[in-house]
Amino acid sequence: MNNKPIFKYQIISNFDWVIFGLTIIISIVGIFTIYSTGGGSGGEPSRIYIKQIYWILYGLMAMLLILFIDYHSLEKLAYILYFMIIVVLIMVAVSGKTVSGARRWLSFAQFAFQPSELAKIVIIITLARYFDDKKIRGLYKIRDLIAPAIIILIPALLIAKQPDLGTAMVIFFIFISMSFLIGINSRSLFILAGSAIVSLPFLWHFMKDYQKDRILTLINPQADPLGRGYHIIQSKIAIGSGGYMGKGFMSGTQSQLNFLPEKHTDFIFSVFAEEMGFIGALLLIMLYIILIIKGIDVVYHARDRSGSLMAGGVVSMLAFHMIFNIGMTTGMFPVVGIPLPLMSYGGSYLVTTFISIGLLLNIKMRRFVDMG
Amino acid sequence: MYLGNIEKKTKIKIYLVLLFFVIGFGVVWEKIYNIQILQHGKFLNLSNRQYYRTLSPMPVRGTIYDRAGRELAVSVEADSVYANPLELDDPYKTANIISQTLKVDSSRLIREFNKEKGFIWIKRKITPDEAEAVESLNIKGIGFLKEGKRFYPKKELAGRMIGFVGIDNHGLSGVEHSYDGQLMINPDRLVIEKDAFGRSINFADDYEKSIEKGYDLKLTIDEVIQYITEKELGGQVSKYRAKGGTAIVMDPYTGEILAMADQPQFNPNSFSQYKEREWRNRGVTDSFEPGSTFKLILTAAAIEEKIANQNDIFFCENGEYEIGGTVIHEANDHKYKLLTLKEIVGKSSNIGAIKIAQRLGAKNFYDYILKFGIGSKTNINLPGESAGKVRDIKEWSGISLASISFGQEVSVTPLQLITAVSAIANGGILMKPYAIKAVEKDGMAADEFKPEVVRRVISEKTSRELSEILEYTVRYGTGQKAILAGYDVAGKTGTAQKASPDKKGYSEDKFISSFIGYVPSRNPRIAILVIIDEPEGVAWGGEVAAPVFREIARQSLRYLKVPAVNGS
Repeated sequence: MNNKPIFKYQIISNFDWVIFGLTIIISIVGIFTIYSTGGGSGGEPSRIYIKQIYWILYGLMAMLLILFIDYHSLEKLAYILYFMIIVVLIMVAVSGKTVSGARRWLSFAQFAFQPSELAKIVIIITLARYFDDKKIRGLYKIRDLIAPAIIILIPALLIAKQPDLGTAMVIFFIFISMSFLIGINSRSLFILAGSAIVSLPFLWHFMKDYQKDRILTLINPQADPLGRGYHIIQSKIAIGSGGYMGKGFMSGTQSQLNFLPEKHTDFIFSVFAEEMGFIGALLLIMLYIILIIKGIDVVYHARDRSGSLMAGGVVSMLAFHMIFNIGMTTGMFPVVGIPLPLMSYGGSYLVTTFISIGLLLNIKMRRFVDMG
Repeated sequence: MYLGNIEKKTKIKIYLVLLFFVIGFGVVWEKIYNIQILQHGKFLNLSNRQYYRTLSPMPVRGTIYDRAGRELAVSVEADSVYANPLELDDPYKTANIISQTLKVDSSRLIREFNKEKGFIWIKRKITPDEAEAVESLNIKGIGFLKEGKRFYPKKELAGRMIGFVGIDNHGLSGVEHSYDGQLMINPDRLVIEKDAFGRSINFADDYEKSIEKGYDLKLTIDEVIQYITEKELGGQVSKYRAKGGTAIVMDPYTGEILAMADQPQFNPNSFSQYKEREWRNRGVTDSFEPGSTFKLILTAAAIEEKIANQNDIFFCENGEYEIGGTVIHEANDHKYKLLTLKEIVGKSSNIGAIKIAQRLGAKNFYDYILKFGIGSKTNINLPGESAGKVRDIKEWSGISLASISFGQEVSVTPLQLITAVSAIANGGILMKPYAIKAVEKDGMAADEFKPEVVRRVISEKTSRELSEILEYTVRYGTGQKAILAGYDVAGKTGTAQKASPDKKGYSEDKFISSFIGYVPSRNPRIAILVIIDEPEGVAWGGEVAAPVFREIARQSLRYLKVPAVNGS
């Protein structure tokens, strides 16, 4: 393929402007929402929305870069990428930067990056590669899943140890949904689901006290309203007090006045819902659903099995983030630090999201192309 | 290549995945609907509750002045410590540290710190030292607010009359209590917008603005006369190791109280160091059997009813008079034979008083007692006023008329007594006594109190005759210790045995010594009542109380620049 131009006409014509447009729109909504939270934090006006704009630009660049690389090339590089990300995760474990008790960060010069975010994409590509390599007739059985399980387990455990329970959960979910897409027999599916349940106590053991608290809090947030339950209660107050129409841009009292913790990151949805109300929240969720439907469309129409799988992994990841994050802010799920795609403040995750959407666009663009 | 490549089963699976996500979104959406629409009211309420934190700052109490505008009670700023429990990193540790520093109950703090509240008082109106100690701890979530703290610059001066305020700045006794609503204007509970750190937006501004100073109070008390009264009363109380003492100085023409003293002293700055019963302003709240001073009421009634004039002679039974099986003796076992009415008062003959009372008749006497305001509240605006006790005439026993004639079987408050005597002094008009001259705002009177006539009790002529009798009493009778160079003094002594604790009869060694009078007798400027409770050794009102009267009168008249007349 070296003798071919990087982009053929069809590739450009198949660029999914809807996905791209939604990405941009949601990102802009995110900027405004972050801007809205910025006023009251610690007294002086915070400029994090500017940083978010920069991160979005970096994300767009990363997305563009991914578009140029045929996903098949990524697939070929999968194991190398996988090896690299494991090395990086070990580096994080050994010499990473600790922020508020979690060792998740790796600093390069000015930048601090969370490799665990990037790991999710690498795992998607690696699993796609693995399943593409091990094509079998009919359905996969449980023993066929042992090797891919190990593939995800190594980074997942490293990430869970940081601790970053949320990302570890996302990885498990990616694995389950990709396994489902590739086709496993129902018995294996049950075993998979069963082992997930069985592993819960093990996971519990793995968790730090504050993580356990979060689970307990979910069951009864009022037990400790000022401590562990505080996040959830404040978030629910924010969303609930928004009502149909919301309190208006920059008028959310919960968020403006700092009652809401993590308001620009994990609880950005609460801010949005408080200020924009039920109508705004509904519209935002509609945007997300359209994005997911468009993603599923990529899965459906991918040129080949590896593309379809990769897209499936990406869509699963995005959907899981969206549903889990909103569920978290409404008190349905424990607070485990799963950010809201394109809305939450945070460079690593934002860039990762752009890369993953870039991957979707990449797959979509090349669905008619005969790669020879 | 694309569609056909995918097996039908795979298609279904993809749709299943989509369905799964749509259901996921649906569930989340339903939850949002539940919170945002169905439970909107509840959460809005919760939001408002922490957003608008109502804080009622202490309004500054108005100043209390004496009649000449001298400050008796002022408000000074003091720090109050509060906590924002939402902001505390470690409520338990903080509670422990704070409770040690400020000597407050740590279990209360722990309880409060765990409430879903953003503002709680830890301790109000702390000392500068305490404030510094707390500030040096530098704990996040602990802050200060300035509040008005009551300070009584003259300390004990008129302490019981002024009263004091509790920690919530509300008056608990004295005029602080009876004029609480004027001294402190309670603003509507102030709504301050607060953020999660408990900071209000423009906090200091809001706070300052919200403080409205209450009305000032101008008392009828004169600081100087009050001081003289307290000093002289206190001196005598300690000299005679008495249990206590009360003195009231009144303007007999207006009913204004110029001084109202109570011993032992009471310092409202440290009210908590006193027992609750020591807070009482006994000149108003406590009644006592007046003893011989009550003969004034009897004499006034007799003269007004033209039963007798001052020169009429009564037979005093040689000092022994049996009534209803009880033998009445004179004080000091005097054995008087014939005494004029003037002499009866002057020498304070009990038997003579009985004779007058008998001639006056129970009904007449009873009516005059009530007319002089004995047995009913004066309705002075001071808390806890007692009405005294006058037994209904229908309940009088065979000896009642005799007993009451010299001031037993009846109890009066010092205020009632001086008000009654003021009526004698001013020409016969009972005035309503009062302690508040004006309620002021920024120096302008919002409410002014003028002298109020209750009723005429006796004629001017009777009043004049009584003054002559009382002058005689001071000059030649039991009240000689009250003689004052340059002024004619009208007065009467009283020495009342205290009722025995067993309520049967009277104590042999516990007395209330008193002196009541006015000066100058022909155009009195002041009426003074002095009561010494249980003096040791000498019990006679003429010995113990009269000198106090004289000293108060002497110094007050000089202060009031009342010209002395020569040759008295």
